[in-house]
Amino acid sequence: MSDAITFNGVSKSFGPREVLKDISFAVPTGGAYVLLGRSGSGKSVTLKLICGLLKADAGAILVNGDDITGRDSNALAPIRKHIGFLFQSAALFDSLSVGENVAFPLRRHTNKPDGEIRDQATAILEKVGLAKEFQTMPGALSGGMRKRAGLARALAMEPAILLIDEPSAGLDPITSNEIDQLLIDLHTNQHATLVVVTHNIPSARRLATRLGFLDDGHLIAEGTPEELAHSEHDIVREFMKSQQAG
Amino acid sequence: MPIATTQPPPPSVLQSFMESIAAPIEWFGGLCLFAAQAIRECFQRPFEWTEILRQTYQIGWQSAPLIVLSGLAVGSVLSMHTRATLERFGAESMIPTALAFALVKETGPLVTGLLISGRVGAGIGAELGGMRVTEQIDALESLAVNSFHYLVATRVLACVVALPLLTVLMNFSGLLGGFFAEATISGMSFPYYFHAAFGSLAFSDFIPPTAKTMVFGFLIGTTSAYLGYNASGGAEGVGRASTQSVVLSSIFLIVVNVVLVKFIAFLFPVGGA
Amino acid sequence: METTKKLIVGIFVGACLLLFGIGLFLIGNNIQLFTKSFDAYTDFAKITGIQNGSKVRVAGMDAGTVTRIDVPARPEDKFRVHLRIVEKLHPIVRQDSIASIQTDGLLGNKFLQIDAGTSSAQLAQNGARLPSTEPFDWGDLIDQVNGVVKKVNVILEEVKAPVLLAVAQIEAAAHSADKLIKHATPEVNGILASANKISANLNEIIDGVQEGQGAVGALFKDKEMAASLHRSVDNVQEATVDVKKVVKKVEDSDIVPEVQKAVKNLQHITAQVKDAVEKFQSDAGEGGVGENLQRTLADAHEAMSDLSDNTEALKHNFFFRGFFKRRGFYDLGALTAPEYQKPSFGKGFKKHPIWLTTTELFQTDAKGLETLSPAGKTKLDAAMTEILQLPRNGPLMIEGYSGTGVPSQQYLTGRRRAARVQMYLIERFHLRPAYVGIIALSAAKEGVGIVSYYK
Repeated sequence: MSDAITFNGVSKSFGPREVLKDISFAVPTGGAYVLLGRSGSGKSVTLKLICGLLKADAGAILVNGDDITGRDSNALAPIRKHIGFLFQSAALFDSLSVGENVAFPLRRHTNKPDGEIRDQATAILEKVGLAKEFQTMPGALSGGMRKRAGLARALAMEPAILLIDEPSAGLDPITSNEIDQLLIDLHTNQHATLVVVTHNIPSARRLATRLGFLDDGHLIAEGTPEELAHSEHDIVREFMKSQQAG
Repeated sequence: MPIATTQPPPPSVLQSFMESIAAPIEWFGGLCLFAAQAIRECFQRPFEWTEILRQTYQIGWQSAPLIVLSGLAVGSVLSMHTRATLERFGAESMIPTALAFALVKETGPLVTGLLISGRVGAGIGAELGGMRVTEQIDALESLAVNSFHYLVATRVLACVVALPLLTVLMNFSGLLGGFFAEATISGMSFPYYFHAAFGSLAFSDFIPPTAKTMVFGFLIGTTSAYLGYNASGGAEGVGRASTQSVVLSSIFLIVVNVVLVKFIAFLFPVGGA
Repeated sequence: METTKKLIVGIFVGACLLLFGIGLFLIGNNIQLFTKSFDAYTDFAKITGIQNGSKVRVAGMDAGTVTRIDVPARPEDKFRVHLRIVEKLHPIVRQDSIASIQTDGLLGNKFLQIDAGTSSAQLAQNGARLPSTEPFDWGDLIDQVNGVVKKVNVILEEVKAPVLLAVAQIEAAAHSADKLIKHATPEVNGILASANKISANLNEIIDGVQEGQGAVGALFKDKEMAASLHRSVDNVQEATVDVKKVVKKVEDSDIVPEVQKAVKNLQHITAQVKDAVEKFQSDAGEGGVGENLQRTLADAHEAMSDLSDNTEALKHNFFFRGFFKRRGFYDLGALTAPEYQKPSFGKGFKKHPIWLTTTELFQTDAKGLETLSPAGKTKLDAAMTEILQLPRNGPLMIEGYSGTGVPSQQYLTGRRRAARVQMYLIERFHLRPAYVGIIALSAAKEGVGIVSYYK
């Protein structure tokens, strides 16, 4: 089985601050990779690098075998069509209704008639439990609903790779569990490759086939949840023990 | 015993001066590249018709009431001032002509440009700034959409299209406002007024000043989009982008206008029909 | 994007473009872009601010624009101004329609005015040349004045010679008449007085002109100025219509015929007088001579009086007036007492009065008439010796006073006394008669006052 995502000695700085230092890891196709780490350890940056939203300063990033480093927006588009990205803040388009947010990628990348697109968007919204909110504007939604709407939009193109930034941050445990369940379903039923950034260890344990731990720009530990629970690093063991972090 | 420290030497005066002027130059260079990219992207497929239309609606149509009202007010005020001056020479019949010259040649385009840089410049700066800090621009990119093409090029293009249209609207509502003021005082007839207003204008008095507002539109669009698109720092950053959009696009507009007026005078010497 | 938004944007863009179109149309209409028109051209040496796009008006109506101006290749060529004129006004643009450059109001732009032609002239064809008048120029006006001055000079030169000749003839005639008719009839005296007066008047006119007085005199004097003006205004080649008008005015004015008439009259009269005198000499021995002579002399007297009136009128003519104005009087003989007593008389002159009583001057003869006594003549000689010390540039006024009898009697007596003194003084001291005036004044005293005016 080939790797969906490969990081090869990737570094990234913002001004004088070095966020990632020579990171290398791989996510196999159909795998579920969870990135752990303290706040500001570079987890979200890693996700954005995968999607090409940020450019790596050094190293190579391969998505489905294609090197994406140095590509501009237009060159990235074919790859991005197969990637779904759920942002931490959901990043719904304020000017469009929830339904239109979900329909947006469909309208742009398919030639389907309007009715069909609406049906499809409604179906996806139904999956995340927001079928009734098609006409609602994003500003009127609660945090959890936004997250689910964002997930619906990320799923709209049935991506092969899903990048999820903090799926449960700021949500109550029940909603958080629902979202986790959605992701597990996607993973098992559609064989999507998942890359999830989270602080929520129970959630991570449920989702992950593999975990990585970022600290101070270094990937200091990688393995199954069990392996990480017995890591040589105190901070990793400490982290894995906590029931609820962040 | 004192502890030996290895601090970097303090920066020299020259160095700090160079740094302080380097930042604005760098910023300006960025703006120029941004503008160049905007021009390039405007002509690149696919054309975002829906978005262009939506922006034309917002920038053009939604500014129309502002322009019409301002035009009426500016026109009537100009007319009153013109009357006060020309009355002394007994040249009241020149009022429509003088007003038309003032409005069509300079006041109309410039006031339109400034009003739109206020309304639309702030709007674009805030909107794109907001989208940037709430990751909506990233979201667009993640959905395989070229955000520059989709957000910036469309807005710049809409500005370039809307400005001349709004200028025409401003000119006519200004003349209408002038007519109302004039008709109230002297009872001048509508046909005479408009005949006299256009009586001494040449095409070179009407077309180039109207067309130059395309440049105004481009300046407003690119400056405010640049500031919004590259905003950072949360809500405060958005506010800063919005304010700077108005300030900078207004300044650029006024300064570039000087060049444009000279350029038009060079292309169309006085009296050329 | 909803359909309504698309609709609104469509309406908005359409409406603005429509307004733009209306603006274009109104301007295009204004410069007659969409109206049927024809072309013409005209030439100007100076275009004084006319430029491409300047308005063209036919008989005051907006009619088109200047489309092109060709710059002359050589200095002596003219600017060629091409025009486009609306077809509507074509019927009144004729081949004799004159193009000129005018200013629109006090502060306005220059525009090209084309006068309506005359109906006898043919229509100006498309591409025709229209005649033009050059814009008004002060330099041209001065040049015109210069032309007038020259013309007037020529006229005066023509007039001067016959006048002088006439004067000489009169003097000759008067002289021979004087010799022949020692004790002539009052008519002869009248003729002599008139002849004297005529010759004096003409002399005065000519003196005045030569001294540079009066309008014509000024022109004489200003020859140098005119010449320098002429030099400075060196660019006018042809006399304009205006110049011709001004010159014509001078030619049409009464000056030339008036002078010529006077001179002709003079020569005629002089001839008559000479004739009469000769006849009188040849017919001396025959009986009918006295009557014949009387009639002839009466005719001559009348004619001479007319002539003296003519020359008198000439002095008041605009062209000669200045000299007499400056002198302070036109004719002392016509002076009335109120005029004399006005402060304006003798203004600018100093006065030297001498008072002589009746008893000092006069003796009464057998008929009861007052004549100058030898003692009186001595007195007058003494008075004149005093007066002749003074500059002789003003009139000498002899005032006759009489306080006896009714006012008319007083007047006559006073005037007679003054006249006796005047005649004696003119004869004895060869005074210029025109400068010696008499005036009767009533006052409660008897005598004669001699007032010398001088500067």
